[in-house]
Amino acid sequence: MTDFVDVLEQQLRDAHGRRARPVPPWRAGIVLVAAAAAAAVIVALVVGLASPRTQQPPAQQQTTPPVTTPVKPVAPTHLAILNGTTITGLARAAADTLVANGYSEPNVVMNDTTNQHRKHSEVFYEAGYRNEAFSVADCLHIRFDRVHEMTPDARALADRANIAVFVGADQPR
Amino acid sequence: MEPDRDDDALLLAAADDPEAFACFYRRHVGGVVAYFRRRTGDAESAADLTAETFAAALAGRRRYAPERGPAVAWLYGIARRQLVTLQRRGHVERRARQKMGMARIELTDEMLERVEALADAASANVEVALAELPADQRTAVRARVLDDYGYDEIAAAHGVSEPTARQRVSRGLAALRARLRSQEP
Repeated sequence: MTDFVDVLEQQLRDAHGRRARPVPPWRAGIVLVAAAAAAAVIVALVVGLASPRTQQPPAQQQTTPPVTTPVKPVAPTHLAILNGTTITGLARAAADTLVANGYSEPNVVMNDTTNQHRKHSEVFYEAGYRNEAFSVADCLHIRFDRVHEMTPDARALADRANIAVFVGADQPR
Repeated sequence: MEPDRDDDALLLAAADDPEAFACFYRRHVGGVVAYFRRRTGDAESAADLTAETFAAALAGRRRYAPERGPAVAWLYGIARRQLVTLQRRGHVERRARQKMGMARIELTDEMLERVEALADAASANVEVALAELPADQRTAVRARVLDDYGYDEIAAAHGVSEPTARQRVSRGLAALRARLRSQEP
C-alpha cells in the first residue's frame, strides 16, 4: 500500500543532496529592488503586528491539575460562552470543558439571542489574545479557521470578555 | 530509528547526513500530522502542510541552532508559520517544496485514511504521554513547544528563574521522548 509517510520520506531523501533552486538571473534585479521596498513594509508590519504573546505572558501555574487534556491557558483570560442554538445546555457543556482544562469559570454563559441557528462554533478574540483563542478553540475542537478577531457584534454580546465562544450545533451535547 | 541520538544531535547531523534527517522526520511526522489535523480538521490539508513543513525544515536545517531551543520547538515553529500562511492566504504554501524540487503528493483515499489513522494514533500517544508528566514540566513543554513562548516568559509566569524554565522544558521533552518510545511497537 502506498503510504503518504513513505512517499514524503523518499522525497525528502532525494531532495537532501539537492541545492535549493537559485533565483533566475533575470529576476535578481527585480528581487533587489523589491527587497528594499519590502523591508520598509516588513518593519511597519512587525511594529503593527506585535506578537500577542509579548503582550500576554503565560498565567501563573494553577495548583489544581487539569482533569482531562492538559491544555493550560497561558494568559489571564476572561471568557464568554454564548449558545447560538436552541439546544439547551451547549454553552454550559463548553464552559465545563474549558474549566476542566484549566480555564477560569467563564464570566458569561448565556444564549446568543441574535442568532439561534449557528451550525458551527466560532471563537472571537480581542487583540493580544490570539494564542489563547487558539488554545480555547483547541480545547473545544473548533477549527482554526473559525477563530476570528472580535467584531462589534460579538463584542456587544461578550460583555467584557476578551475571548467569546459562540457555540454552534457542532458542539457535543 | 536511532534511539541513542537526541533530536538536537540528529538535526545537527542532518546538515550533511540524509539518514539523520530521515530519522528526525520519522520521529516527528506523526506528531506534526496530528498537530495539523487538529488545527485544520482535515486530513488532506494536514498532509499538505506536513509536507511543506518538512521541506522547509530540510531547506533550513543548517540554520538550526541548539542554543536557541530544542529541535522539536524549531520544527513546530515552522509548522506554526505554515498554519498562519494558510490562514492568511487561504491555501497551503508550496514554496519550500518548489525550492527543494519536491512535487506535491497526490493523495489517494487510501493515503488519506492512513493519514487520519496516523494522526489519531500520534494524538492519543502524545496526550497520554503529556498527561503523565509532572504538571510543571507539562505546562512548560506546552508553553515552549506548542505555544512558542520564550523561556523568559515561561520563567516569569511560573515565578522561577530562566535556567529552571529551560530545565523543565528539557526534562519534560526527555521524559516525553522516553514515554513515546516505550509506546512504539
